[in-house]
Amino acid sequence: MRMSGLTLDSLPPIHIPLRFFLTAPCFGMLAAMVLLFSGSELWTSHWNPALIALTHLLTLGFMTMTMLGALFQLLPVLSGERVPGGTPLAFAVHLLMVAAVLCLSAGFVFREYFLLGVAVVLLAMALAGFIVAIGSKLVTNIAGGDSIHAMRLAIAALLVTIGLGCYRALTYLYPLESPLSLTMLHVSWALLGWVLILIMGISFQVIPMFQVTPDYPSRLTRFIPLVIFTGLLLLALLQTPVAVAGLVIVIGVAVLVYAGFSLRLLQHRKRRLMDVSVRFWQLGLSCLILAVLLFWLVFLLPDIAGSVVSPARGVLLAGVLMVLGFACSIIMGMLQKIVPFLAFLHLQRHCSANIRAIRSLPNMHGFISPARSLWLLRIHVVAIAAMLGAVIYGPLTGIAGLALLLDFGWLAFLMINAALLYAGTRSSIAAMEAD
Amino acid sequence: MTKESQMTTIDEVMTAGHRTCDRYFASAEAAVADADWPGAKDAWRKFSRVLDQHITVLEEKLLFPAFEEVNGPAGPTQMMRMEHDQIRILVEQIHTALAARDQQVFLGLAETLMLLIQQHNIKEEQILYPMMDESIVNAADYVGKLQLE
Repeated sequence: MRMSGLTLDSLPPIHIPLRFFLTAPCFGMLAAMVLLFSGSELWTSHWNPALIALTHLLTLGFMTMTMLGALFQLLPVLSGERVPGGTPLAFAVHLLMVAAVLCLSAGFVFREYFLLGVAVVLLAMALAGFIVAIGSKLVTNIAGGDSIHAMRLAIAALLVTIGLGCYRALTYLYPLESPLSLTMLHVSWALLGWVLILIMGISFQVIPMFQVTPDYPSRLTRFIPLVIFTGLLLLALLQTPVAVAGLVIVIGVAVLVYAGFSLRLLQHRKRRLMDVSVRFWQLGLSCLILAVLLFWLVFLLPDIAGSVVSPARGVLLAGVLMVLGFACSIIMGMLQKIVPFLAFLHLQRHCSANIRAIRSLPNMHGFISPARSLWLLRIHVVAIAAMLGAVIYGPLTGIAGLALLLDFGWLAFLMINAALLYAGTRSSIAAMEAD
Repeated sequence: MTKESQMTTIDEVMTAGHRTCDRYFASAEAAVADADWPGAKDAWRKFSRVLDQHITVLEEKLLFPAFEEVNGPAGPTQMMRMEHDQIRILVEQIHTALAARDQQVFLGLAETLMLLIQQHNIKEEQILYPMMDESIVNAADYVGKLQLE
């Protein structure tokens, strides 16, 4: 292990993660607007441009945005290494991401496909900057255990996702070949590679530590992400129906083992307090299980599934469960902890040795109260249910849009409120020191 | 988890120490949530004692000096000492909230302490303890000493 230059003081400035966390909910609100303005026509085809815009506002604008902010924060804590490029890089990645997601979604919503070309360039620049900076650390032998191992796989999956996505976007502009399997691979690498493996890596660390549960067995933390990643690789190489079905089963089993085990750990936690972030984990993991089962049903047993739901709708339902039910729930729950904690941690550092100032700081519940977080959970459950309802019965789309707007609006309110309290407290500390 | 007698590295012994602190913390927190004040006082006393033993006796008096002998005083241990001080301030504030039987303040501060301790523990378990096992000359002797303390 490298020892020189490690001071364990690699806390990035708070404005780096916060700029990602504060803009992310705005993209969720934009996604809600797309729902409100498109109505039930949205669900007529997978390839409806407005649906593609909605999906990317949630996956890139909300999910990837917060995940990038979290990685800028987490890597230094887990490995003791600073992310190269510092503030200028984070600033550039953030701005490019915002512009890219806006261009991409506007391109689809208004069917101005030249904007997709602009988005591809911006996105490639944002993520190349991020991946080169983070990747330059991840390829070296840094500390951090199995979480870092999963992060490596997730970042590699992000690279594949973006490569496939950019190619797919360019097919709207140029007469390129665009097989269906390419789009399916893009979606699989995005949701199972980038999103799921990253969340897994983080959960291996945070569930046992913050909820005081037994550790995940090391066989699980080492192999499950690897099985999923290898499965995705094989999915790209093997195209026969039998091979694809086999891989869908293997990857699904790996996901179910992870989700089932995590739920069991949460049940055996030593902290018995009712905690909103635990409820978000339980909700997210349950949706993940349902998504796998539903996808299996639609993909492996289409005849049986067909009597209840059309394959196209079935896949959309599994998508809602995966994106809004699993990933967004976990991210929202984590934000309820990360943002108040970072605000407290930075203020405490800011007080240096002034004990009187430290004692006057708000604690984490002062930044976001548990009661307000609980409302977020309730609204989010309604939003998931409304979205599932809208996929099945189109006229509910407006209600789903309103629920989603309230969901991300409330999250934005909580984030902004916490950031304002941070700023206000910081000024009063400065005033106290000046006295 | 490795049994105490089978532990052979500083990393294992000290990581197990963190888990012990966590368990006492969790029972104090649960007692306060149930408004079981005598139980909370007892669990909190146990937690404060094992925490102090861990950070003051085992780390600041025993392991950190041994590590600093090899690597110099200006390094990771300096940062860890600063974080220990931050932990101590919160522990003291929680003690006051417990004496006043203020459930809301206790739970808010306890949550904050939990996160502060865990982000500190991650750095020690992932980085500092493995470094200690590699760099402290007679690290194996320390494993015995830590278990005796």
